[in-house]
Amino acid sequence: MTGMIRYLPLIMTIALWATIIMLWPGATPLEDSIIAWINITLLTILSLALLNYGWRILREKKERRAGSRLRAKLVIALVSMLLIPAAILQVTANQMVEKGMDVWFDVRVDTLLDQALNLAQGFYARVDSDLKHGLRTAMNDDELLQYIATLPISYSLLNTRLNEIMLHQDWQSIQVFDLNERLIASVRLEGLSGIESEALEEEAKSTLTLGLISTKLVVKEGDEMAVGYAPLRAHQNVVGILRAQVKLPEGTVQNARAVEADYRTYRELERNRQAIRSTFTHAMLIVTLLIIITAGIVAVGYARRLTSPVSELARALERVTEGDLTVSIPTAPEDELGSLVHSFNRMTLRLKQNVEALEQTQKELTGALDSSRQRQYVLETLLANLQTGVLLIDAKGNIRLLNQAMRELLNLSTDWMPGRSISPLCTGRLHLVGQFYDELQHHNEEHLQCELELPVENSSRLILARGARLSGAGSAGFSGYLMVLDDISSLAEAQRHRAWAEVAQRLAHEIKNPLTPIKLAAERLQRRFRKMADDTVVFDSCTHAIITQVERLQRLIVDFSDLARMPQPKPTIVSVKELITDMHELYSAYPRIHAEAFADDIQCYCDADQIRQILINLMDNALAATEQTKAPVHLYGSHDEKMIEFHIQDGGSGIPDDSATHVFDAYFSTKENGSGLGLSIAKRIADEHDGELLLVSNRQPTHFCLRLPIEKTSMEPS
Amino acid sequence: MSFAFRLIPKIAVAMAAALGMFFQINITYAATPPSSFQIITDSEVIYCTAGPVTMTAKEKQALSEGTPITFSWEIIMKEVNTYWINNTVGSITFIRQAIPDLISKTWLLTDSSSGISRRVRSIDEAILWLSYLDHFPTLDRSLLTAGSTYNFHIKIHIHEGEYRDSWWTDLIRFETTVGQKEIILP
Repeated sequence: MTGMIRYLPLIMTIALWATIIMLWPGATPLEDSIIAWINITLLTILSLALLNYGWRILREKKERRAGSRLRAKLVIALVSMLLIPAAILQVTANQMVEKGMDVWFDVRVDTLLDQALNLAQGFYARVDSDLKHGLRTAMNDDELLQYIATLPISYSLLNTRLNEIMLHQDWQSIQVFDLNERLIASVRLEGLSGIESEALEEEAKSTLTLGLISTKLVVKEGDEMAVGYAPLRAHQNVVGILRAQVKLPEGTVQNARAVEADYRTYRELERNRQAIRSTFTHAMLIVTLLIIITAGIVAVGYARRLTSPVSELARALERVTEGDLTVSIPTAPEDELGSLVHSFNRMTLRLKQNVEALEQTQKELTGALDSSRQRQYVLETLLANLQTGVLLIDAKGNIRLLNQAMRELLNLSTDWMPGRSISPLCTGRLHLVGQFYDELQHHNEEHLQCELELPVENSSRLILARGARLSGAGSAGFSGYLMVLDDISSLAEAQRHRAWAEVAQRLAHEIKNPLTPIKLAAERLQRRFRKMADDTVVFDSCTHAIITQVERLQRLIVDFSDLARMPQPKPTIVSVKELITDMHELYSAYPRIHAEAFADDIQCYCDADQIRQILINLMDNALAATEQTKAPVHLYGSHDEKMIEFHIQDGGSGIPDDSATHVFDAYFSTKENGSGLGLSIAKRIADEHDGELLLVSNRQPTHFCLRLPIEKTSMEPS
Repeated sequence: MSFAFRLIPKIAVAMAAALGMFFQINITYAATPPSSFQIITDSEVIYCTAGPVTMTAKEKQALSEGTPITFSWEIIMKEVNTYWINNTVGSITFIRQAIPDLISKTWLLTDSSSGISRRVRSIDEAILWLSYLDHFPTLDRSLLTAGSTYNFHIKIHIHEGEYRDSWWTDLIRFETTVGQKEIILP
């Protein structure tokens, strides 16, 4: 419905154009159609104004100008309120005129007027006829002709006779003219006072010429008179002209003229019947159009005045919506809208004050937030770069914070994330972490510390776990538990190495010295007292056992000494290809060893002797493991951008699962005569080269991998 | 007030459109076929013979039903200039009127140029007298120059009803051209 109202001005414009076409006067004289042209002009103005207004309403619909809808509705409502009664009035008036025309121009009136005019014409014709008849009688009056024809004329007799004829014919005057148009005799009813010499008229001349009776109507000083001329003949010759005059009765003349005037007026009206109707219609239309145009202008002005504050309010609200709080409406009418405007101004002022206060608060908060963010950033950076694993748990047992070091330390799955409950996650290999958390919860002390040995990937790590109970105060406080985990495997191993080194040094010192005299004494006993022995077999066996075990103890002491006095690596640039080739040549006596030389001549930065020691150790272990089965042993190398790898694989019986995690521990050996220090020393050498020695698989095949950095590292030669 | 000022251009456009239509109609009406028009010269006087102008049936009916009919004749003579506007040599305006008398069934004919009036009993005679100029003396030949070109323009305005000559009747009077002719005096 609202959409239709918006198109109403355009619809009305079309209707007006249709009206213009209907009212178009066509090829009629402008004098007759000037009123129609005025109407067409007014209609054109109105239609153009409506077209303009309709177009503006449609345009404002797209642009959404504030207050335009309300204004359009007001104007349309006001004009419609006037237009509908005006149209009804116009139609009613037209109908009334139409009916009135039918009454006015009734056929009975027409007939009556015709009859009245005929009556008047009959009267005049009768007067004319009587006058002619009288003239004819007079022109044949012998006595009169005799007086005229007898010369000299007896004027007294002539006048007497004329007077008699005048009285007989009831004429007002009678005159006789001779052939020279001179007045011979004249008799008037009113007497001699009225005698005037009048010139003969055209009709008298024609009478004289043609010899016929002629009459005419003369209007003089408001009176109408019938004047007649008749030739006077004597002896077949015209001797004079008789002029007679009859005054028509004044009342009858007035009536006849009134009838004539009415008839003329009526006929004029009848002829212009259509024009009258058209004139009335157009006059009414002019009034209607003027009223509508005036009302339209007033309506537009009124609507503009009424909606102006609303428009200003809407525009001001738009500006407020856009964030401009400095807006204020300066003028306002003294009515409800004015009150609204004042309220709006107060509202914007208050809003502005509040916003300013808010901005100040926001600025302070932003400062605090920036500071907090900075602190948080520092903390996060610290936690991210910290090698120590940090785990923060809230009072409900949910993870609040977890750093990357913790993930790497415990090799945590992706399930470990803030918001998750920690208890379900601490299962399997991480059950010790869960136990530590439980102990922390139920422990009376604020702090707790213990060492945990957790399996991570294929090895176990010794973790130093420290926990603290956090109890915040107030709403900003935080209650929960902080767990800090450190990998102390290297530290423990170093401590172990150091302990073993001390033990080895002391053993070497305490044991090595007596071993040589024991061995020499045993050899002397063998040489000097063998012949004296009763049972040489037993004697040999015993001395041999002493010597053998002493030698074993000496080797053990040498290993201990080596472990205790591990020299610092002296790195140089070494060709990996040469290393593998050397190893192949060293073990060339063993055909089951398959060494694959490097295709590329890759070099690495290491102590060649120590690396050879590791490879020899690994190769010896592999050969020992495959001594009975004669399974092949593979030695090959590989590399990536940063690391070079030496792989030793054998198809031996392998390492038991429970021993696999301890193969690099000192003094751990699965061999009967092993010291358990070979792999421990090898791993230590690898660590000192910033590399690593890995047990890739413990069986089928048994696979060790030595990884060394290609580039020079922080390792410095001593 | 500013709103009214803004309306002025729009009203002007509307008025121009209305005036355009007005003149278009006026030209249409003025373009009725002209009657015969002749210029007759003798040694002293230049005469015009024009008409008879065809009267409409409505006008004839009005005349027969007692409404006076007035023919306002206007003859304009201009010297034709090639490179300038034409120079008006003279103009004659006169009125011929027929006033019916329904009672006596006569028509009183008056001519403002001669002052003569007469009464006729035939409507056809009255119509012919109104609409026909026969050998009407227009201009003294001595006022014209031999060899020059002159334009004669004759127009009429037919008025139905009582004729009142006033200053404003000329403003709303729309005349019809009866004929237009150029002559070159020998």
